[in-house]
Amino acid sequence: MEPIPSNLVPDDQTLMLRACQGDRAAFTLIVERHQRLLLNFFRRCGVLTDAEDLVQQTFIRLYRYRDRYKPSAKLTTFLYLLARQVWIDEIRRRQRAARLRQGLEAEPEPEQTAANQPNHGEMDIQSAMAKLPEGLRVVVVMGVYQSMAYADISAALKIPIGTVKSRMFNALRQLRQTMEEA
Amino acid sequence: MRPKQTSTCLQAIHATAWVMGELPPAARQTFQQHLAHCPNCAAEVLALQQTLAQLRAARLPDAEPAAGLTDRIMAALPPDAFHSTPFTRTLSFVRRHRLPLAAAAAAMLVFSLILRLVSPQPNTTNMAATAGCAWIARQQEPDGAWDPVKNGGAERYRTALTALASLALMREPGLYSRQIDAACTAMLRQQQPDGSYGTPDSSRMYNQALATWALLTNYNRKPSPALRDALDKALTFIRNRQQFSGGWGYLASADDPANTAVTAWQVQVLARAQQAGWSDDGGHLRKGLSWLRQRLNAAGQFDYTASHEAQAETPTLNAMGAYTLLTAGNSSPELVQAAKSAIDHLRAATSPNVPTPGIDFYQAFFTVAAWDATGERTNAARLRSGLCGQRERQGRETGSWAPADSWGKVGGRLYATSLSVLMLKPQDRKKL
Repeated sequence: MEPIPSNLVPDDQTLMLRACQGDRAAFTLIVERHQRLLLNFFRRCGVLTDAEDLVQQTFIRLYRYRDRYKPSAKLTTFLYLLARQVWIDEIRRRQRAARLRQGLEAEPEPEQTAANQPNHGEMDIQSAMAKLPEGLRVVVVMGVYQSMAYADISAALKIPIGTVKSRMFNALRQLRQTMEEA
Repeated sequence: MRPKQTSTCLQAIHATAWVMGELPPAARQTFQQHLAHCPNCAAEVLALQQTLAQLRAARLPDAEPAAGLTDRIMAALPPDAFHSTPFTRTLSFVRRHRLPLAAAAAAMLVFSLILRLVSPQPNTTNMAATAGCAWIARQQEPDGAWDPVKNGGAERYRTALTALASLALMREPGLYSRQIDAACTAMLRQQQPDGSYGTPDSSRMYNQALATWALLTNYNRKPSPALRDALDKALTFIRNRQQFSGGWGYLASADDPANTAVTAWQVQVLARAQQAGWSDDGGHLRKGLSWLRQRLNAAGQFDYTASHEAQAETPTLNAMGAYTLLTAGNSSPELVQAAKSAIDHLRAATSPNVPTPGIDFYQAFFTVAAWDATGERTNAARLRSGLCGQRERQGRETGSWAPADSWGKVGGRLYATSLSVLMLKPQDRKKL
């Protein structure tokens, strides 16, 4: 297969098609192009030190599920879908680890993330975010921090746009209430 | 824990979308006017803006990935990534499932054999079909039709090619709804008052059959009275053009005898119509099948016409005849038995030992369909594999297939690409 000419900047769809045909260089370009977006998504979800590992896991899933990608959709939407699944798995892993530690009466996990750092007196917004259910938190991260439109959030989370609206509505109200009660 | 309500106004539900800039223009204006008169909603908006401001202030600044992250990620991919062979795919399976050594060896042997048989991978055929659909969708005109001339075809096949293109897009469910709806509207517009399609020449019955097939598939997907009326008229036109012998010819004149190719298309459409609920009270389908059955000669191959003169049988005629008898005759044992001899000839003609210089898309289309109907997966996979290797992989026409056969002169790239997608994405036989 001919290499991609360096003077051309192929779009994501073309790169994915080529990657699916076995073109390693095309997949490398996708990794280079989108790693920053995913890294900042995970950091804003509250994962600080492990964010690059989660980025890596997301691209491994992209490779594994490459044939499920439809070229008519934005690649970033598909990446967010995979990243969210990686994040949910990470939350579950941490919950299992926490239960294990409790069982062993061990010390608290030394590594703190932005989402679970202890309060210093006043409740801050990050701590309030950490109290949100995951389904609401991801909508805030995508809509407010990643500046995604409701339509893109709807596609990335595979939920109706009306659900995005109601989740954002509930999330902002809960955040406000948590802050007021603190 | 339910959040406490800060506003009892029913309009408050729009406040979040309003501060996020997600209300459509009309709703935005209405809510803006409402805000001037509703202190509850004004307070709600103010509180939301404050919460959003706090969130935005706490937003972590963009971080840069560490140098070498790309290399790390690429190194973390499975060992066989981008070097996939039946062996490495099997090895990956064995590793993933942690099989014991003996079981692993047996699994590798079995899976290598299976993977060789079904090569190319479904992934490859799926991606080729997906790329083909993307190319087809790009060629659609604003009126919903496809322009044959722009793609190397002939104007008189506009309807047939629009039908083929939309049938191909329908093999990607949910992806091209807008394009398929537009194509259906274009085909409804192209229909003449007597239910016919195209110009009164040798192209007409192909236009007729393909347009009717596409409309039937559309009707199955999204029924409507307008579509039903159009189908009634299109099917009536086909029935009225059936000759006394039971076959169909290109033209409605006595000196144009019925032929196997045109008849096979009409029979398939009538069978699909029957499947969709149109009755065959007049026996048109039964008579058409009977005419086709009689075209099998003493050697077990399909003749082109009913003439007693010597005729050149072709693999295309055998494939389309056998496929039609197998699938349009409600699995009648007599028709299945009749198709067997033609299938034997087809098998010999498409043996791997017979060199094939270029793909004849028309022949391949019916041949793959015949192999799918008989369940001969290896033969079907071999043809699909050859097809995947022929598509354009770069340039403006990426994803399409260049026509290389005699029909290519009138069908152009649209014909070759649409038929390729239909071959690569076989249809569920229970569907239309």
